[in-house]
Amino acid sequence: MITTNIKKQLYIGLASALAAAAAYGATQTIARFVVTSTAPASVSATWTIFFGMIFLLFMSLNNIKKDIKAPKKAFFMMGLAGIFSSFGVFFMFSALANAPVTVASPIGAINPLVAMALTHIFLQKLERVTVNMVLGSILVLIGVTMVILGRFTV
Amino acid sequence: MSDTLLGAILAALAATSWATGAIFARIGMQHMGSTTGTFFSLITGFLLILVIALVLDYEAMFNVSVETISWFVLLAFIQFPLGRFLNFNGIKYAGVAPATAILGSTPVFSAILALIFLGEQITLMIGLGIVAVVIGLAMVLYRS
Repeated sequence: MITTNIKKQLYIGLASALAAAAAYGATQTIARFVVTSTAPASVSATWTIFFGMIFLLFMSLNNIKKDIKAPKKAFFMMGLAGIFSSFGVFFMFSALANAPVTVASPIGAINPLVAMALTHIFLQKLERVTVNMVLGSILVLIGVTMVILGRFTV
Repeated sequence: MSDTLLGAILAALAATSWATGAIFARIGMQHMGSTTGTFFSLITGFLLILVIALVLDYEAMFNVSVETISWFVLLAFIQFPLGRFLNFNGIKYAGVAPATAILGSTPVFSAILALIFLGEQITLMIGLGIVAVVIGLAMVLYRS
């Protein structure tokens, strides 16, 4: 029973990550259009995060009462996560304002390898990075690069 | 420095920022749900980015048309309720390493969208690239 629940959670996590990749794929194309034609990167990032905050407020209303009791350390960590993630949005919007999607997108895709290196260094007690994970991620990056380059070799 | 090189450096900074954010999110979400965690992370992130925008582009910050606002709302909807929430959900339930590895396939989805909406053709390199991504993801998932 416990194993079934763990597997179910894992599948939810993996499906969520895949759906997130599809969502981010769409936003990069839209963001490129917005930052090159309508507003500067910093303005676009700020307004986008502002509206995102409103969306998430409504989504989290039911859970806030329970989660507000979480340890202060958890809030501190989520605060740092927000700062770094928002910097990520700002940097990517700025990158898209300066370089084509075909340059910015694959470089942004090195994110998993950086995360794995950081996980290996800082989260050894929580997670283990396997050789397969590293090799798989490298293969994903190679594939991503080929897809990007292939778009211009019709 | 050329614009493209600057863009490449900024993209590398974005990747490093997202990866670092994922590590902190993993630690923080051991004690709270991903929706509340994502909302709280957006508050701190917004305050910081707001200061940067006010310093860099004060006039442009408040000089945006209704049409531009609607683009921001669309971007926000796809990026946050969908993107970041699903991302943090993936980190919470699958772990940082497999979730972020899957997230690395983002440009493939961009390519697929371009094929569907912009009518681009699948070249041999695109086909091989997608196969490499699928095999790479399978390797990551197998050990998960």
